[in-house]
Amino acid sequence: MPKALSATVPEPLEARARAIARQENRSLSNVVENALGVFTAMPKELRDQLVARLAVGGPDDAAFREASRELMFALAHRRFEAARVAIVEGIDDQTLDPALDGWRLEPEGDAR
Amino acid sequence: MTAARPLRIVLDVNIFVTDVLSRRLGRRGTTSQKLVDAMLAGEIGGRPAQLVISLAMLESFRGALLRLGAPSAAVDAATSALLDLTRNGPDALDPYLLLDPAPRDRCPRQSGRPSIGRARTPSSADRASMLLRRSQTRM
Repeated sequence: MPKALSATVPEPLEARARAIARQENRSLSNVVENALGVFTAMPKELRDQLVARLAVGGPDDAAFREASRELMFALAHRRFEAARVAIVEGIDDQTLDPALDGWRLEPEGDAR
Repeated sequence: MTAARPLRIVLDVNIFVTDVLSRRLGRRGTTSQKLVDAMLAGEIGGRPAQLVISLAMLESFRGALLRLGAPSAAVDAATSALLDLTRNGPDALDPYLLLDPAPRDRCPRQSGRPSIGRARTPSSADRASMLLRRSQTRM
């Protein structure tokens, strides 16, 4: 059963949460729920480092953004690998015969 | 000491498809597999690597896999992941900006023959350091 939480946050953080909710067409409650869900799922060491990094440079800090980019890249990597496994398992073998030797999308002439 | 500039690499769509086919055939360590895995790692030869891909290439990849009977949900997930790998690579390129329908040969080549095919090459191939095609790899 859902429980209600109440918290006091700095005004800029409240404004940022409201902006995200508005941009993504979600309720503020949903944004807070997601934020708490992600934060509490992280290992303590990671939480501590992210909090420390935010305290130094804020959300626009270059190192924080770079770490976010690297995390997005790593997650995309895993998504691609998982999808590739499903694709490999799902390929229809009957379509493979013409593909076995010199498979191409279509003949490629000279570029000009 | 400054960090090495990322290598921008275009992999022909056939390399992505061959990577999948070779895995289906149970092959390991093929050139296509190594190239795709290097792009997934974001690094080639110890140097950061940025995938360069256009929306047209992603659509070709998607269409080819669907023609092979791959499940559409997995195909969509793979295509979306490639988009995010490109956007979140070391140079954070956006495939939406890689537009240019004109087939041109603007990429550095190593032999006398043009090395760019039509349509699948990201149009801003001149943004790329390297273009690799299926004919240069083995399944």
